[in-house]
Amino acid sequence: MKFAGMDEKALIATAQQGDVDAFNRLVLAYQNMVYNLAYRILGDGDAAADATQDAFLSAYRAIGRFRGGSFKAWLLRIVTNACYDQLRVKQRRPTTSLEASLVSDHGASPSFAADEGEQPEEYVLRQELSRVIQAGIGTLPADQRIALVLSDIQGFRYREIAEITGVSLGTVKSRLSRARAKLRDFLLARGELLPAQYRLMGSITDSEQLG
Amino acid sequence: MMNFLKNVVKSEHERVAAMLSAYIDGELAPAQKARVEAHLAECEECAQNLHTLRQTVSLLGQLPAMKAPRSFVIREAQVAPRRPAGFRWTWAYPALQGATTLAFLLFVVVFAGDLAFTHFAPAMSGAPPAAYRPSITEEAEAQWVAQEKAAEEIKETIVVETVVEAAVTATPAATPVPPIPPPPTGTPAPAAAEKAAPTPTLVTREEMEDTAQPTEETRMALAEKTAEATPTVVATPLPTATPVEMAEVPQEDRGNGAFSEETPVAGGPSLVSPARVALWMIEGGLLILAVALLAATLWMRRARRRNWN
Repeated sequence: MKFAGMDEKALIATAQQGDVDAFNRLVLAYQNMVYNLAYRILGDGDAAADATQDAFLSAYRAIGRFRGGSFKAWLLRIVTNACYDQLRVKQRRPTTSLEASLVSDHGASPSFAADEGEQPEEYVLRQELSRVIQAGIGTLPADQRIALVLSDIQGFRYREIAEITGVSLGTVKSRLSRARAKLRDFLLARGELLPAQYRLMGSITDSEQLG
Repeated sequence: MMNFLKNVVKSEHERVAAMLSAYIDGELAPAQKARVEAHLAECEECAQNLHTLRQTVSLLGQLPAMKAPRSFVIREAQVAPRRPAGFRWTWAYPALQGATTLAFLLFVVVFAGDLAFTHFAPAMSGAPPAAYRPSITEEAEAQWVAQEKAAEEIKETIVVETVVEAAVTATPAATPVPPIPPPPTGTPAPAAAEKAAPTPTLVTREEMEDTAQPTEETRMALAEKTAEATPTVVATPLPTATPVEMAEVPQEDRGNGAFSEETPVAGGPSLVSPARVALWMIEGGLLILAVALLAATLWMRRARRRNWN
């Protein structure tokens, strides 16, 4: 990532000397990614904001112990740990059931910005898609959830996921495989909840349109 | 035999099914990839699975990216080392309390000592008759003793590092004694009084020591005066101690009647010895300091409560 006049390494070095401003430039560069990751793992805007805040505070306190390598992986490891903490909190305070959150719009996900030139209908459909998939992700165990979000939403390679989550490549592979299979089954079972264009098609020929 | 074959095929099917996810991501070794592709060519179910898995991954990729709902930049206050800050609060308050107590104690000690000296010292040494008029040398000596005492007290205040503005003015009040008696009228009193006005200034240790130094000069000046043997030797400026001190030590004024260091000058106003003035100033300064410290202590107690709630 590029920063005005200063590369990430220099910013990290400055932040390691306790410079809050330098650290905050890293925060600004990463906060969308961090929040998005936390939101997809937790499926709740408030919890995601809490996890994001906690993660950045932990990162600031721990940055002195950062010893090179990928800063992003180091940061996201802290974020996933913050998400585990939030999930534990959530378990103690069970919220509305999955089906309830699927059917009603109550406690809907915070809206996201419409893409450039996106039609209002498309925007609504994408929001609908987001809601159903999020519900599906919510059925997965935390480990699988995190692997799935890191891979298929954040676009990390297996090796990076292994680094972030601190497990072996083989574990990443199997967690991801199981997570995808489960989510696929969830979406197949609730196909009617998805907008038509996003429905999983039973046969290859039917779904050619999806590309 | 058929069952055995079926099992082998099934296990191959399951193994491939488990590899489909990695196959999508291109994370398989070439040999595994070939195996998966060979199986896909003959297993409709696996081909279907692969297809729906790909769709699932594709849907996940289409999820809109969530934007941070607010800025998560860290404020200094959030990361300020809490323990040191708390520590500062915890020691600052008792320190202030201690300083307040000390200032009050010091004031009481000095004041009591002053009272005892002015009221009882003459009684012990035999009260002088009303008509007694100390010779000029005796007078000077008494003054010198008092000044020594004042200097001691100044040192005391230095030790506790308290702010005693009076001390600053005490010695200057004594030093500029003119060798030649000033004219009865037009004394430099007003100017000196202005100088001596107890503006609460912070006095550093060095400054305090600086002002403590001139006692030597004072002694020499006194010796000179003694030699000259003029009755107005002690007619130093500052008959008009600032109202604060006057108000704070009213008993002193009355007490002076018992044993007077003042030298009544015929026709002139009742003059006060510099030692007296210095003592008053020390007392007044101490009292002001003590009150200021008390106010600060109370303020800090309130601020601390507000901070912690």
